This record gives sequence, structure tokens and C-alpha cells, in this order.
Amino acid sequence: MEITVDIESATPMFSQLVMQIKQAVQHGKVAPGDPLPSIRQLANDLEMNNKTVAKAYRLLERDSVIQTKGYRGTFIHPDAMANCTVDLNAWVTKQLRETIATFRKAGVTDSEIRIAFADVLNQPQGG
Amino acid sequence: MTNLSIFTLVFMTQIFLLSVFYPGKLLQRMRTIQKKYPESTHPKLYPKSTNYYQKMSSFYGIINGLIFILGWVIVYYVHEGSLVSEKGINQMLPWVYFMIQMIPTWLLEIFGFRLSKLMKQEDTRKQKSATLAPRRLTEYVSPQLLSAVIITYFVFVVIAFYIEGCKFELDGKAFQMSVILLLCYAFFFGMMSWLIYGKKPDPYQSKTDRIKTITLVIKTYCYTMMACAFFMVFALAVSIHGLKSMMPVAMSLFLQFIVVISMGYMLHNNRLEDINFDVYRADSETS
Repeated sequence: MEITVDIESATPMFSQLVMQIKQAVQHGKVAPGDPLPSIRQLANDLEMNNKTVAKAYRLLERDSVIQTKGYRGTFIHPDAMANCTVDLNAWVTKQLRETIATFRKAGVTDSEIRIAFADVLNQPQGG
Repeated sequence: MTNLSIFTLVFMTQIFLLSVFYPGKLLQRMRTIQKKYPESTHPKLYPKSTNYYQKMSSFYGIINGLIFILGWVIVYYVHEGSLVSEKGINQMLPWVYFMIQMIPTWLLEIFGFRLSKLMKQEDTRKQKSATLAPRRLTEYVSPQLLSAVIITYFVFVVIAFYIEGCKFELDGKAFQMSVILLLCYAFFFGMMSWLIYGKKPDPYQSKTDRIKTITLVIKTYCYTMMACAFFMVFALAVSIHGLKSMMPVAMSLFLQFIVVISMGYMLHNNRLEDINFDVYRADSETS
């Protein structure tokens, strides 16, 4: 199973990686429990920075598409197929759209929403 | 035949093998590539002008020529007695000369790295591909060969302690040589790991060729590790039984053997006819 990234694409490289690995799972090209290449190997083969691949792996791990088993390496998650269909980005967009619609309905202006949104984002996590 | 005569004969073969025979083969290989796959048809193979390669080939030849002369100077001084102490010829002499003989090869490696870097810089392809599966050492060498390498180490340890009278002493030769051999093994395994996971590949080289080259190099590492273990058993036996005068000859023979099983093996098995040079053509898109 080969993955290909386009270095001139407008889509960030880590997103291309995430999408391609998810597609590979959805199309059954990789099965649950299959080992994945190490960050170093993949970064080397794709001539990318290790941090880019690490970021993609972190996002995939967050989505439970892959799992890291310490020194044994990284594997496809047993529930990867089901978890691949969950698009967190689409979910966030939907939630924000609904929230913003509620604010607008209450008469809050767009600039007030932006300021409040930035304030909340800038607050330390858990604070 | 005296020890000095035997050493001279063996040392002369070392001079010939490492400064004439194999460099000659390498130069011939470089010339054949330039002739059969010239810049006009295979531009991707030449990130620098052909003139630059010819200069490098000449430089490589000249350095080897100088080292060849140095070898004869050493032979002269050994015969004259300047390099012979009361204990005989220094056992490290063939080793030191071997390290000097390897300088052109290392320079060639550095040159190769530079070219590979230039090739990557000139690579205009927008898409990069990778296999979504981890590479394993056993994909390159058989588990049997790897087991043989590891078993050889333990056999060395057992024999070394047996030769030393089954005494375990931290300042004993058996223990020290076991540690040295372990470090040597660690170095080679580190190199294998770098070749498999870390070495930046030639951007155009076909996957089959890449796997084949790495396989050959790793095999030579395995044979070298085993040869080191056997030589160290021999060296330990020689030092315990007071036959140190044999060491310079044994050392030179061992180094020659190492070159035959590494450089010789690579040149013999990685033949130019089997390498896919079409990937370096101007219109080639394969990676």
C-alpha cells in the first residue's frame, strides 16, 4: 500500500497524510492491527520533517484510527474503520455554525463574536 | 622463510589489493557508467558536469597512486629495520596502513552523499510516495544469517573465556575483547538501522535497486561481523600462547579478507547490467 503526498498542494502535508491513511483504512487497504512505518521512516521516504509526520500520527491517534504500542511501534486501531468515518473537523464546523447562528439571533454582532471567540481561545486550557 | 619475508609478501598483496586492484575496478566501473549512460541521455545521473566527474576520478586515482607509493616506502623501511623493534614488526602497522588505504573510499562516499543531495535539490517532481508498512531487517537478510551473526558472538565469548582458563576478570583479555566485539557489533547494527530507516535515498533510484543495494551492504556487514569474531578468537589465542610475531601477518590477511567480503562482494554482486539506469533519463518519471 503506497501513499502519495503533493508538496505543492494547498492542503497541508500533515492533513494529506491523515486523509490518505484514513482512506487506506476505509478502502480496506490496511486492516486493524497492521503495523505502520515509524515516524522517522515515513518522514525520510516522503522527504518531510519528522514533526509533520508526528503531527499526523498524533491526530490519527486522537481519532483512534491508529494506536502506538510503545517500542513495538504504531498499529491500525481495532476500531479504525468505524472511527475513520467520524470527521472531527466537520463536527467542529457544524457546532460552531449552530452556536454562531444562536448568537446572531440574540443580536450579537460578528465582531463581538470574533473578540469573544479569540478571548476564549486565548484563555489557558482548563481555566 | 622468515617472518619478515612472509610479512613482506602478505603486506605487498595488501598494497596491491586495496590500492591497485579494487580502486582500478571502481574506476573502471565509473568510466563504464559515464560511457554507457552519458549525460546527454541520462541527465538526472549528473547533477554536476561530466568534467567534474572526470576530475574526481583522476583525483581518486592519484590518491590511490600516492598511497601505493607509501606502501612501498613502508616495505622499504620494514626491510631497512626502521619500523621493526626488538619485539618485531608492530602488529598495528597493517591496520594503520589499511586506514590510510581506506581514505579514497571514504572520500568517494562523501562525494556520493554530495551528489545525492544535489540530485534531491534538482528533483522537480511534486509528488512523493512511500509504502505504508514498516521495513524490517529480516526483509533484507535471512533470519538464519542474523542468527548466525549473533551466535558467532556468543561462540566468541565462550571460546575466549575457555582460552583464558574460564576466569572472569574485568581486566582480563577475554572480557575486554568481548566488550570490544560487542561495540563493533553495535556499530554495524547501528549502520544497518541507518541504512534501512535513516539514509536519504537517491530520489530517482528504483525501489528494486534500492532494496538490492541495501541487502548487499547489510550482508557484507553480517559477514564482516562474523569475520571480526573469528579474528578476535585467533588474536586472543595468539596473545595467550605468546605467538605475537604472527600478528602483523594475520592482521594484514584479516584486513584483506574484510575487503574481499565487503568491497569485492559488492562489486561482484551489484553488476551494472542489473541496475535500472532508465530512471535517470530526462523523460523518466519513475521513483
